[in-house]
Amino acid sequence: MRKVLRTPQHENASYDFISNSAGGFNAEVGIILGTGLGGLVKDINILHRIDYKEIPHFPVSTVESHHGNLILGTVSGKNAVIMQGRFHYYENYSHEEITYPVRIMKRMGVKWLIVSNACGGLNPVYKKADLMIMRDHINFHFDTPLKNFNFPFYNKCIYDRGIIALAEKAALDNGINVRKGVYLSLHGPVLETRAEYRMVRKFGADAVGMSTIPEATVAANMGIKTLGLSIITDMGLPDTLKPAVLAHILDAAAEAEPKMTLLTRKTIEMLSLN
Amino acid sequence: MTEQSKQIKLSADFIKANSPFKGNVNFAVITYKNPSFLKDHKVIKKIKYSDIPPQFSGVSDNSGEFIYASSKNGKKNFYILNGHLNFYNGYKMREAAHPVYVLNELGVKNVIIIDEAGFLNPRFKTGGVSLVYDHINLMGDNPLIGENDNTIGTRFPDMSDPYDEKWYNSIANYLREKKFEYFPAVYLGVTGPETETEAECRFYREIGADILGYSLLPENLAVVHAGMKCAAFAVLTRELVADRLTEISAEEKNKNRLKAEKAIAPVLAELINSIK
Repeated sequence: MRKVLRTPQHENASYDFISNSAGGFNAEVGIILGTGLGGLVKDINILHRIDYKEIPHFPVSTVESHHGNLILGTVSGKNAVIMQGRFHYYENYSHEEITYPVRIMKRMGVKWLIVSNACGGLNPVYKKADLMIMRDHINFHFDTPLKNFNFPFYNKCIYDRGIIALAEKAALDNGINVRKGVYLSLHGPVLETRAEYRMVRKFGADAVGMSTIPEATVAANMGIKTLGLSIITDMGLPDTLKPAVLAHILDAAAEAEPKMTLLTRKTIEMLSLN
Repeated sequence: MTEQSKQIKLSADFIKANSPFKGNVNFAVITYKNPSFLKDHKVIKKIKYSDIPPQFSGVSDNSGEFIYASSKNGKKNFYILNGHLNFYNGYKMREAAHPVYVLNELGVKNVIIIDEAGFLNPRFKTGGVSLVYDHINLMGDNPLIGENDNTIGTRFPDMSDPYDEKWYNSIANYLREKKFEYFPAVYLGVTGPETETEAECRFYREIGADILGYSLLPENLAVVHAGMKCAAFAVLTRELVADRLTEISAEEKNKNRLKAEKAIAPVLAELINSIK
């Protein structure tokens, strides 16, 4: 069953708990660590680490390869709140639950959010282990995280052009090859059939995954400037499709991880220019 | 053991306890309710879905039957699930997939699914038969959403070959040998039950579908998840070609269905005999 909405009172309780455990810590930058950005943890000066289970009303992650910790610390000299472990729609979390941590981040003062994911490439120019900056997205979850949401913005551009420009500059300065494309999210958890890959490519997507859109949508609609970064872990080319092997996907994520971590760090360094 | 496993075992144990068969049964047919080709097979015994605990009993429609069947020559025992548990009847996706997991628990390795479908590809014919080689899920839901039971299958099943290519080719070869006209198809899963508008037909054709139906998707996804092999036929009862979309009566649709069933019956009987 998809569970009930969380109210501002729930948010107060979660925020108060985090604030009390961390001595009133406020953050400028929010980071959601997806597959392939886990290595960023090494570059964080960790001040506090809070298990999701301890935070009142926080959802709890079930995927084995994801930890469930909220990390408070500094990255590239900026105060940051980092989600180590995230929530997916295919685990039967509602969109309200998936995006709940983003609302808490907003309370903590977050102005910039960086979200990462691993996904399948559809654009035939892409290669395995490429990085992609999310220029835009297509929501194919048949659901929205913005139910009962007050809209401060209309026709909002989800992925902030300013940070995209900074990320591109960071990539150029550091010799990191990046793509820029449209990400489409399906609910999963099955991987796509050939016919589905063909369909989503036709819709205008460059990559297809099962996450990120809910968090980015809520963040952008709360006025947080959002950057989405993807690792292409396998190619979804319908005419040459081979069975996906989870180990190969994880290998590709591991291969891209150093580039991804560097790009994230360098982008954060420049955020104040935005 | 997860709740899902427990429920699967509950159903499977009941079916085993009632089974007239001695040996292993490795094959099953899942079909829409009461197709005319059923009479081509010997019914050894049948039980009502509503008698099978716990999930077979339906929300609004529980008149389906679990049939212990045997081929005409009596050589091959198999199961027939007479009736899909349809999403549009209020079943959740996981409930609609439950019978498939039960078949897996019973030791079934190969499943033929037969669905009724409308066709979007203008070269197809009413009363014709499609052999499905791929699908698109546009139901907005999936039976695998939620907790994954790793004893059944993996969290992220690969869907590069949802309708076993080898089996598909052997069936296709057989059909060609028999000079049987069949239509290879990409099947689009939608929820129904309302039929499609002309604009929807155009859109569905545009995204690459040849036929569409309401029942196959959750069952196929579960077959692949559980590691069984799937082949799927569709009897083409309605033409859904935009710009020549016409209303048809229930009688007419029924007539088309019977025509397709008549064509497919001997093929199906032969296929069942050929499964080892």
